[in-house]
Amino acid sequence: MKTPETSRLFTSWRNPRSGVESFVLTERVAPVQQSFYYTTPSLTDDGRYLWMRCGFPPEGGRYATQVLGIADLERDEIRVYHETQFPTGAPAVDPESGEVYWGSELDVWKRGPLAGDKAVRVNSFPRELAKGRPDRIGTHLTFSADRKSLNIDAKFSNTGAGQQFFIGDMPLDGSPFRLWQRIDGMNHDHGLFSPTDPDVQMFAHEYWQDHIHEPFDGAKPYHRLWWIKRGGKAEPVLRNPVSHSGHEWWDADGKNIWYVHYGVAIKKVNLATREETVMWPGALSHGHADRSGKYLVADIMDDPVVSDCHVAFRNLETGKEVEIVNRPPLAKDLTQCMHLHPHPQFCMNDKYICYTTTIHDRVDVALVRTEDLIAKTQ
Amino acid sequence: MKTPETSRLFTRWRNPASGVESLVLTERPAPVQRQFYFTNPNMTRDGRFMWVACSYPPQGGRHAVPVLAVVDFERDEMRVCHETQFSGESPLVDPLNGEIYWTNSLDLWKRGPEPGDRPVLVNTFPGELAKGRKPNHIVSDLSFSADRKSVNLNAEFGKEEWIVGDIPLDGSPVRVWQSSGSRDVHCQFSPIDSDLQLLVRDYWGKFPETFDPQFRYHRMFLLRRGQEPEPLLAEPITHQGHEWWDQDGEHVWFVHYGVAVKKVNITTREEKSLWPGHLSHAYADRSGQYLVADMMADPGNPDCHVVFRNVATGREIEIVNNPPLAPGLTQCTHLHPHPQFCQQDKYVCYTTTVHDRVDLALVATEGLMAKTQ
Repeated sequence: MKTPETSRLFTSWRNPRSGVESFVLTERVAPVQQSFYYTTPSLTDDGRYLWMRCGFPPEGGRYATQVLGIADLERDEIRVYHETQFPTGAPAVDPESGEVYWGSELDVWKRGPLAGDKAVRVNSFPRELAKGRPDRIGTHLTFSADRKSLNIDAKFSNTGAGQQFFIGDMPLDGSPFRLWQRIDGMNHDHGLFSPTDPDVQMFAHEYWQDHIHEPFDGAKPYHRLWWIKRGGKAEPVLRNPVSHSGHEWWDADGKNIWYVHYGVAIKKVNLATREETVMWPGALSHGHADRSGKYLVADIMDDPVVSDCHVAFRNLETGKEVEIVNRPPLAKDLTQCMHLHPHPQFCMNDKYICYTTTIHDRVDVALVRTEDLIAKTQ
Repeated sequence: MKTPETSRLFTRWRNPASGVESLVLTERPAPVQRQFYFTNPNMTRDGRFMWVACSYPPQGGRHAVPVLAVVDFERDEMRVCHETQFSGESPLVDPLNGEIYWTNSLDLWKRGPEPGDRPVLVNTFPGELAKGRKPNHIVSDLSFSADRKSVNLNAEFGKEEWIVGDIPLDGSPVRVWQSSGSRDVHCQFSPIDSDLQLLVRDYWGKFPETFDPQFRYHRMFLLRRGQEPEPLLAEPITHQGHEWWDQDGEHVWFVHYGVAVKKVNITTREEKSLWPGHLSHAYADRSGQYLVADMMADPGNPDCHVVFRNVATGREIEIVNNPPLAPGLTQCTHLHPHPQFCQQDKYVCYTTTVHDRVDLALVATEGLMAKTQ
């Protein structure tokens, strides 16, 4: 089987400043090929399948409902599956089987990675709860710790009576959706199942979106980060509200949650003690940690709307950092996509970091070897 | 050049009840291939290009954002253009050169029908009017102004604001004619007056849960640039819809549900009943002598039932009559036949389900005329 280093699908690109080598997926079946959101690992544990988001905007455009593509490192080929539009649920990849799950309208679908595999409807959000068409049923789907369910954080805004939000889980065996809590009138999203407890999820309150018509300078403290235990009511994760924050993710141990306190640091909060630890001071945007919590990767941008492609790696043991890529925003008239952030993430059991790069004046998926980054930050 | 009758891309299907022969587009690069909304002809006048709405739902599913494909009768091939995802009901074909216009988010795009043609950004709805909101669509059904310098604007933002106007094709700023909290949809430019649009106020769509079809209301309005909309009918009537301009620009056709297909003179407001019955969508040829319509007991789970009527003789003939697709079959939402005359009335184009899937079909008008003498 090929690897990103040996596959004909990838081309090496070296950062001239830092010497860090990335492997860019230069075989292209779509004009936009983007890595997944940083909370969703895209590479299977065996390294055979790399899933990605593919968009087909018109040349020079940026809007397209994306579909899924896959790089198959056994066959050394890349395929696109047009039946996988995922407007209401960003995908989740089963890291063992390579199956991918996604949301469309009220339905969750899955399909296998092979060309001959067929899409299967896994389950549906109940029509009796749905008020019109959903904005989404899952911001980004995640598996429960027992692998029996997917998290649901459904939002309906065109209800005629304000927005409605449902947090719950959708069993993979097709049995009925289980509602954990309904919250009306506020914008919640980014639900994520705990990696160790199938009865726990966290989610975010988008305070700034609920107050979009008011001045918001980011200094107002509020509780963005919430968690909920099945059968209970959601409660804030942090002991005290903080100024604008976001881009949270679960630590692999399930006992801590990481988040970005904008302009301050990447922090880690212990769920039992609520104690917070500063892990990477600075003005960072998205972060992600390896399973040991010793290595971090983050992207950095002055303007999230017209974002740089700037990704750095930090070795927490040595405190050293190395730049993976640093490029100004794509020119406006180049073909691109909405939400063009690098979203770096550790994947394939931390062997690689996957991110979205623009170094070829387009939107590409890239991988970089973690061991090289560790070596450069000793 | 091939025709639907001689192209390898089509297969004949004969209605056993009526003997009417349809030509079904059985070349299938996509699992769902359907006709445009009935107000938007999809063939060029010379018969070389026919555009098709294609979508790729998962097998057994029905939800997918569609893209456009073109049937090229010169090359006898069908090509999918994946960069043409469109929002709203229907794109717009220039019948002279085969270019197609579509909207996506705030943008209006066009591209030519040849394989090497590239999309061109025609215009963009202004961000200051969108105010950060994502539109449901900026146009529901695109139509050209009579002077061919604009297309209509019919933007919908959530359930709060509807903006009507025009979008100049030369890229100059979008012009707003009116904005309201009423559900103004399916606007269409007059075919003869560039300052006039038919505006449809979708009363039932705004209050679907409480709507009583016996309630009398004004759905159709004439909107003249710079003026307030005025009701088209002399008196409000019970539930109605699916209106379209007569080619003379002096009449508007509409379906008075459960009553008839009617035509109203926009000057005198005189109404004529042209086809009594329970019809859903209809369309007239340019002479107004021939009509085609679909009918369905349940619009949410529709039959594929299309009939042609010769207005002069009063005779009708069935083109197709198939029950709803089984729920487990791959399909699309809004699966209505939407028959329309196209290529200068040479064919009626419609969406068919006779092969247990969603297909596009054509039927020669002259055969229908002959059978209804």
